[in-house]
Amino acid sequence: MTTPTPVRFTSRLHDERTAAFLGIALGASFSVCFATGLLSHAAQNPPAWLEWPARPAGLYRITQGLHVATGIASIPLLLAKLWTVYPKLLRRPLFGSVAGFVERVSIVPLVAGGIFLLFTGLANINQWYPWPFNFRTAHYSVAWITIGALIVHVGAKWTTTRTALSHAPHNKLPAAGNPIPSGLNRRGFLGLVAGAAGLVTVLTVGETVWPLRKLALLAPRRPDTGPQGFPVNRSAVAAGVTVTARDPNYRLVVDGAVGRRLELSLADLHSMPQHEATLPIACVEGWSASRRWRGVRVRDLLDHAGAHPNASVQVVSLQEGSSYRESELNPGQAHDRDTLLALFVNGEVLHLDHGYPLRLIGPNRPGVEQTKWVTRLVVS
Amino acid sequence: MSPDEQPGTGLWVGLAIGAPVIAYGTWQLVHHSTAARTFAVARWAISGVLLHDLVLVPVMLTVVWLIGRTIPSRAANAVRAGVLGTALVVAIDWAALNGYGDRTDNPSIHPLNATTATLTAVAVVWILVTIFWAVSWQRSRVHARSPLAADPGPGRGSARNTRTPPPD
Repeated sequence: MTTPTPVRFTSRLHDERTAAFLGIALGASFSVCFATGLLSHAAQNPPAWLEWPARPAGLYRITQGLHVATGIASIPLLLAKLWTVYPKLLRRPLFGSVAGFVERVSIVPLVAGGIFLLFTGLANINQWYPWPFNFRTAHYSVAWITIGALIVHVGAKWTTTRTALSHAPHNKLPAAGNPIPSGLNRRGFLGLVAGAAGLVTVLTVGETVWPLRKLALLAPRRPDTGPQGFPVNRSAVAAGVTVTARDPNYRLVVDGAVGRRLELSLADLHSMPQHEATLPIACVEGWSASRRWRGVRVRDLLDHAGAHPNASVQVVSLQEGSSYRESELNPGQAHDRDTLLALFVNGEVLHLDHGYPLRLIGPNRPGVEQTKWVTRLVVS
Repeated sequence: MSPDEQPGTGLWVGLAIGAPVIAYGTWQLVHHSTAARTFAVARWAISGVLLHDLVLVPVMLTVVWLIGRTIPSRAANAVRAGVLGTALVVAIDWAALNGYGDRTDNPSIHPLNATTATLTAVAVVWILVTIFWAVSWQRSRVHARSPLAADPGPGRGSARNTRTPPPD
């Protein structure tokens, strides 16, 4: 068996024009993924200069749904792109010049980062963590490295790509009466890749696009499946709150920078003015489900406690030992009319797995920031 | 690398913009992780490339080659598309198929029967592939029977256009 060399890869599927089309598609999908990923990171870890807005209410649902959908669609695009340029791996001499060396070295973080991001992202939406590092830190850091390498690669391939796309393709139809070639041509190959990307999108995006939910065969979640008809990320058992959340002596405490410390029982909360809002739980894993929530406005509680109109709020859960035990409400979020401490969902008392007795629900927030089993508001 | 493939000045422009971005990502990783976790990330990233380049692609090349050797040429591309589509579906549903991430206290993770869902998705792949193959085969037959067959016209029907590309 002979060693494969670039000379043996004579198909048009390995030419610069095919690589250029796939590179543009992949560059676009990675860019969308990166931009939406940055937004998700900012929503969860807002920099000091940014007050993450409460409106539009469904923005995070769209950006995170797009993040996961483009990530999944990128899988066939990346595999096809690597297939197309695979012969270059076997090219000799390896570098040829300083520029050639720099270009080839820059491909290592691009390919390694691309595969790493897609694999870890896919595993994360399945809540599967077979690695010893923190997913969020690694995914975020490697995304920057990959995008940086992508910028270098775009620069290196700018002229080649323009040249490849500016010439007319050579795969004209054969003359009438002659058979159409049986080998896959460029158009067929690109159509196949586009079809694969479209198909995996259709088979997964139903986890956030309600009308397509029945088609979500490959999605780890269905927006209509779970307690009270929608999914759960962390159950009460996993959070270790099955006893404390049902404690008849449960109290919600509002303290910190307040004029009057509050300690409210469930009966007290039920006796307060109740408000309704239709808001999505939009999870970082890409699924989302819109529901009708009813409960007490956070701003009413803050007013009741005599908090400053520009107060921020730290929302504390009954669960222990989780990085999502607490979340922050900036002043805009805390005083939004639809930011509630919900007691009901779709007319029913909250299920334990959905945060009974009390959960935070607010517009344009990641699901992990919609703190469940709320026991304390710390005003600052 | 042949001279016409050498990157031009665009590389240095890209490097000037991209290198600080790479450096920022590396700093983020090192700053927010222990040394052991940083090395683990690097190990996983490099392992992914090696797995792809040394295992997945050679296997894929072999499968594609075998299909070309064993399946009649007019159906070979359809079978290749079906096999690759099946592999893609299985890869995406790998965690669900193996129960990775499942929790007994949270049945909303992987709520569907993974085997049934995967087989249904694979069936969709093969149905679509069959439809496209049938349409293109029909088009090919109509094209071959065209009355213009005897007169391809100037500049058409050259050997280059009718040549069958190699199946790599």
